[in-house]
Amino acid sequence: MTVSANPPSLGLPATIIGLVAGVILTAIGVVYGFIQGLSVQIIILSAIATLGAFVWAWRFVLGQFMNQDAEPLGEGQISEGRRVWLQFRPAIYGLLVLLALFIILSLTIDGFFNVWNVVSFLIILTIIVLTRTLGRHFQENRSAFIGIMVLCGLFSIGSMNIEGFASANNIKSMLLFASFLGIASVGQTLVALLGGLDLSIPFIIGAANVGLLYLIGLGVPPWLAAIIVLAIGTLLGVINGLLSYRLQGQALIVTLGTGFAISGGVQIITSIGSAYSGNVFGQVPPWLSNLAAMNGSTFGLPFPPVIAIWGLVLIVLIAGMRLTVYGRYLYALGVNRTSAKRVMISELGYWVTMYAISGFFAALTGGLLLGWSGGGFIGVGDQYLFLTLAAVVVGGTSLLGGQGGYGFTVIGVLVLQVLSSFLIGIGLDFEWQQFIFGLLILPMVALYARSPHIRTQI
Amino acid sequence: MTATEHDITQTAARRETIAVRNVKKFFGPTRALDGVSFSACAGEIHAIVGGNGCGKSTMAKVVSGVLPIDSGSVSILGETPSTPAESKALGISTVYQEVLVADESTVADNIFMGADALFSKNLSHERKVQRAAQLMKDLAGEPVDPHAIAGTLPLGLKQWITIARALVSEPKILILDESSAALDFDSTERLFAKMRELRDSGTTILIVTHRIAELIRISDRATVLRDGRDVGVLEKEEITEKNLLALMTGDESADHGHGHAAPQPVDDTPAMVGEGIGVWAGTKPFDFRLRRGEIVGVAGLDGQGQDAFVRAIAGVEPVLTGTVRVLDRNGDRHFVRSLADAVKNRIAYVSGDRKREGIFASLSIFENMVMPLYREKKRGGILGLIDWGTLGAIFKREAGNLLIKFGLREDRITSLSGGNQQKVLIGRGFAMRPDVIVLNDPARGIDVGAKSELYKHLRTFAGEGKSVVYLSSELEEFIGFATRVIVFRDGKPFDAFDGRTLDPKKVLEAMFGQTDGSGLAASLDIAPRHAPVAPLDRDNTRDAIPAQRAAKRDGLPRSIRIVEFEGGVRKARDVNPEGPRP
Amino acid sequence: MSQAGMTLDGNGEAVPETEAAAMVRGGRANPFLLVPITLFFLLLGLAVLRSPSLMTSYGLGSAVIVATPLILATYALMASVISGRGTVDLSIGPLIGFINVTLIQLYAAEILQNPIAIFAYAIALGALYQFVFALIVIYVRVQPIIVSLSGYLALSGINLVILPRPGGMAPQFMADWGLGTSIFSPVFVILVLATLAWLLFTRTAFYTHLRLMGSDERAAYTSGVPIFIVRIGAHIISGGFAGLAAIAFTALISSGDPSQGTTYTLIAVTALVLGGASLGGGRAGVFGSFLGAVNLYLITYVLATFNFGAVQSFVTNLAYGSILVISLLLTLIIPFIQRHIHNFSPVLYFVVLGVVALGVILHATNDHDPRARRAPAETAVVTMQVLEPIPADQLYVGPLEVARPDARTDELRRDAVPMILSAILLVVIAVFLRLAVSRSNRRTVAPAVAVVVASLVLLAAYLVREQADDGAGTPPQAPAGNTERVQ
Repeated sequence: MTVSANPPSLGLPATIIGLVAGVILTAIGVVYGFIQGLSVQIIILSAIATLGAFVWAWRFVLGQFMNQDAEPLGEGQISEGRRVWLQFRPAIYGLLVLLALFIILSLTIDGFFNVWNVVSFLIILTIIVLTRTLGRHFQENRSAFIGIMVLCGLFSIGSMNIEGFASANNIKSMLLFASFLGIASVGQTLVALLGGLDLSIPFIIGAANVGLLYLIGLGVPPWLAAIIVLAIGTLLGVINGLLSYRLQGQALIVTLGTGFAISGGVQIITSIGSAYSGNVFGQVPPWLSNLAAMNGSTFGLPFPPVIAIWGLVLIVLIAGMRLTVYGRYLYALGVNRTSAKRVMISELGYWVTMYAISGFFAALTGGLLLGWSGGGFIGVGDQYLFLTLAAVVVGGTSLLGGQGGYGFTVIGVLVLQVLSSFLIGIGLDFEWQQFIFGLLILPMVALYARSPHIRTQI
Repeated sequence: MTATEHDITQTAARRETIAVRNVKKFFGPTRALDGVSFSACAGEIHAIVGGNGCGKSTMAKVVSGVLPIDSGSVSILGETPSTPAESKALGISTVYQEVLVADESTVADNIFMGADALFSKNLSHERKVQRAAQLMKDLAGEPVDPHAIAGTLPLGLKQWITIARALVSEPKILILDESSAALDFDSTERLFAKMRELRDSGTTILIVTHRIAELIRISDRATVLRDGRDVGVLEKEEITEKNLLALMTGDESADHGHGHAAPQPVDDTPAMVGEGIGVWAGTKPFDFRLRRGEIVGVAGLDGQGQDAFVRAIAGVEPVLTGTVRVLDRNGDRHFVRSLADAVKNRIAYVSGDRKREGIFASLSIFENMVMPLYREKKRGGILGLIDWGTLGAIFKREAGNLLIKFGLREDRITSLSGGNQQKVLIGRGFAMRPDVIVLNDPARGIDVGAKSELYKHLRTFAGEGKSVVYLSSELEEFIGFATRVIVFRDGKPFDAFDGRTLDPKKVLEAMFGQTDGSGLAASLDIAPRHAPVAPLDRDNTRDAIPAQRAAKRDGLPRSIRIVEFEGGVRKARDVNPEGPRP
Repeated sequence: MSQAGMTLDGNGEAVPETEAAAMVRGGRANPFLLVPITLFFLLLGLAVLRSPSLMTSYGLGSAVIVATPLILATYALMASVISGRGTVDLSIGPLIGFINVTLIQLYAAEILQNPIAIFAYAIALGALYQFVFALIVIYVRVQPIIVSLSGYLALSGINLVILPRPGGMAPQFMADWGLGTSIFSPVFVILVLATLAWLLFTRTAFYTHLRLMGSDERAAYTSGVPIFIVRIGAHIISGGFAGLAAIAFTALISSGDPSQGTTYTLIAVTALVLGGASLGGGRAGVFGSFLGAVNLYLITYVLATFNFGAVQSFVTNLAYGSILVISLLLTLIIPFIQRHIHNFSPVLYFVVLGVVALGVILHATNDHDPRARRAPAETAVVTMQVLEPIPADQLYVGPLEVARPDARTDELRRDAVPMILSAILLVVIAVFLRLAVSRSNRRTVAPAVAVVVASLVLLAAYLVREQADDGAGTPPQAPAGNTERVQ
């Protein structure tokens, strides 16, 4: 199964093209290095790295293409050169485009050409090559593999280019925000496995956030208030589940509607007798703050307990999905509901349960966010409207149901979080992040979740 | 009568319109077409025929331009269409197996779908409506409101819409891919009349079908496919069931059911009792008894209620009226009202519609087989942990029994061939250790070898004193396999036959309503309500049927049987236009 | 086609029975407009009862200005949702925002000045975006919902980059449109033209292709419908509507606002569903979409008249959400209705309810004086949109309150009798026509109903006009409210 087991054998023309391209690339690098007056050691090092990585990449990419296309082109009478060209065309195009992009960036942006960027470039190249080669062997979990590759790449590039990116503090804060997103995405993942969607998550988060503080402000003991809020969140999830089950295929709109209603309703309740509509003030109990604040500690260890909670949820969910009847039946139902009915899996039961879990975790996220921010705000969940979806989709869970899992979503969450930290690190604002997230989703989905051509569906 | 007309047209236009040479088409590792050649001429009805999964539907899609080919050449009227739009422009119309109708649009729009240019209409709306009304009246035999929303119509009329759509463009080539599936008998007659009319005006008609009886009547030439290859072309005179079957099955596997005697129950202990069952509204209720150790075959033309019947006794869908009760080992009776009841009382159901209600496409072979046992074998109480060890043993046993060929048990089920997928599903049924197993046309699309293994397995199963209900659309399956065969017509049993003296000709006649239904009254544990003989008292008389007739049938040469069968079909055709109507 | 051989002997006898059967087989029209029409008149009646000033030139004018962007955004969704595959374009809001902010910035940079250029720019930008959208859906073959999600995130991000916070100046001519002092504002003209354009479009074969494709793409493909071109066309039309919606939106707020995206997406999707469109494709209409959007506007309007004070926007959210869910649930009973009503005519239903609503409007506007006398402050408050809490008891009985009859009211009611009689007469005529026509083989009652509708509209316009004249004479009525609001 490993690539090294069958080393690709390249034809002579291919090897020569590769070597020439590699040498040219290295030469360009060296020239630039001297022009910018970098020290000779760095230039030599990066030149060697460039050449080595390029030749390696070349061998692997072409090896894959050769193995794949070895047979069908045999019968044609086209010349050797043309054959090679046809065979390696995509790889050559891809490398040329990347190279061109890099050169253009180097030319246009002052100081772009330094050793770290060259290394970053090489890392990107490596990731692409690895995804193209090794990724073929991961048919089931291809998206997870790609996700992990992207994660590693992003993290290494980030830690090289950004001061303090790999510091304990930054990692802690990334994990903290990832925990919020991760907990909020639990429900979205489960519901997506059934083939549904839950857009009420952000509204429940906001409602729980405000509602919890409101209850605390009324004098309800905080622990009781938390239980009430979680119970109500679950109840709302049950309603969502019932409605979405009845209105098959319209889960998106239904949950949007209930979300609106929930958010409006909670605000009306909390605003009664209050002079400041929409904002609730109250004292957040210290244990809640400790749960989710940056400087919180878990049994004396210096990280907020919410990360531990997330880890626990993660383990329970992944184990549960793999090892228990409930998890397997969830998949069965998502794959083929008629077949599932024949083995007596209760469709309504699973819809209601999954939406209830979704409501519960949304309410939990809302409560934790209250501990983090210390003040209630109905709009606190707004960014999760599409972020949870994005995490699910980037991770590789199909929105049509039956494929994926929470482990995938965790990868999606981490990719989004590291990317977001990275973008902040290189000085891009929230709006740019959102822009890039948006553009990222499309190719990620296109990699593994394309619909079949209409020809094959007749 | 048609032969003389046909001779005239044949001499008038013997122009080759479709020429397919050595076409190959692969779907991943599957070879759907593996070098098919055939040709069809103007003014003939050409049949593409073959068993399930032989590539005949793929062939139809290739000719109509839906699927591109991997190698070979296709020439239709001198061109090679690569999309349906191109083939339409060439004058090719296709009616696909699936009823493709836009439910939200009107009948008229549906019929004229694709007839207009991109922006301008080629025909005014009023003309279209008129034409649509006329066409539907001619074809469906009843007036249909051309403004009606197609989604509100029954399936039969929707099928007519797709046929009308193909006819409205006055095609030079008409391809019908199993188009009579949703039509009843009268409708099929009208369709055939229409086809002959078109043929006589010089249209090439390509029909793709597995219904042998129909194609013998209608086609002028037939190309037989087997395993993605063309194995022979038959001219009009040669199209007989004998020849067709010999070509379709290949000689080595033609005799699957023979040489075996149908299993007989050891005693008359009932396994299941149905009283006053009605599956259609307004039909007379009937009783049904299933004994331990017997295999009951269920047959009928498509959509005559047999499907609803087997679903009802398996608890998949409730019966309309009456009760179904199953008897456990102690003789206690339990109602079967739902799937839960059925599973509790050890009734297993295996569907032949694998894709829709069988497999879990993206799950492993292992999970697909033992899925229903998860709940039963779970550990850790409410935690519901799956007991991999026990299930692994069960999987191993069933996979071994059924000779399922697979790589790793963690591979996806879709990596298996259709036959092996079906075996996994049958294994799922057996894994539940049922007393009664209900199979709904399980042999659909599986090869002959797998079929005979399945029969063997079911025979052994019945030999253990358990019972099998087996619905099949292919009568040959019952020979030497079923203890008795019940034929359904109009939502109720129409006739019944003893498996030892089973004559496919008689069964076919019964399916078309040409027998007297005496089999029901005789002794076969299935009776219309208020029959003169009380259903439960007739068990003893059954043994009176002379056993030597079975031996006689076994000695019968195969060819004679087929000739008789063909004669039966002929007779059915001659009789039917005046025959009783539903 | 009609040769004698077609019908078999036995069949000739069967025809008489089957003819009767065929008449009940298959319904002609879908009763999907039942919910939006009913809701529309309920809300209209309620709105007029609550605040009669809606039925003045000024009231309608401002209603048109506020509702038009939403209506056009719903049209944009409608055009793409028809094409099937669940193409609910979530990015519609950010797209409108994107056109809005770029327009403002380009205007500020003095690149776009000419009104024609502005129109061309907005429509072209919308169409271009949707064109790319369609190409991705067709060739990359990603689910449309993912593409729209991606577009949503990307566009809302880039909007904030282009215009970090609300502000900027719309071109002067657009700012003038936004005042809404009369019904016949340019925005109204845009709306009418857009609606007419769609209605004209429905007469083309392209529209038939579009519906067929949306309803069953595979059937369309195998019948030779050029599905790729049709899909691209649907998206470009959708983009055009989005451009117009952006212009109406810019006129409404007279500035740029990068963050309206979320709200507009959610509201437009709600309006679409409320209008009876099938999210699966193949069924959506301009009439339903219009009603859906207007219904949402009326909900906001009616709720505004209740004056919930600080919680106003929350109540609106609550109402949006609940009505969306309820109207979705109501679609579940449509199959049952379909079983009993085979020839539901939305037009006729609209006319009947329209007559009833006209009666309500007459009642409200004629009974306006006593109410105004009884609670002049409230009327003023309503038109001024001042946020002031009302007592809790009124909050619950408010919707049910009816003006107390006095001498003047009775007199007015006597005056209204001929009106009501004529209205009933109209209903009778319409029903009669409908029945007569359904017996014949004609397709629709459209011509006859069109006449009735036209006369009703004329009558209503006349009444509104007269009301406006009356209003000029009596201080507490609408024009007074108008001036107060301006202050």
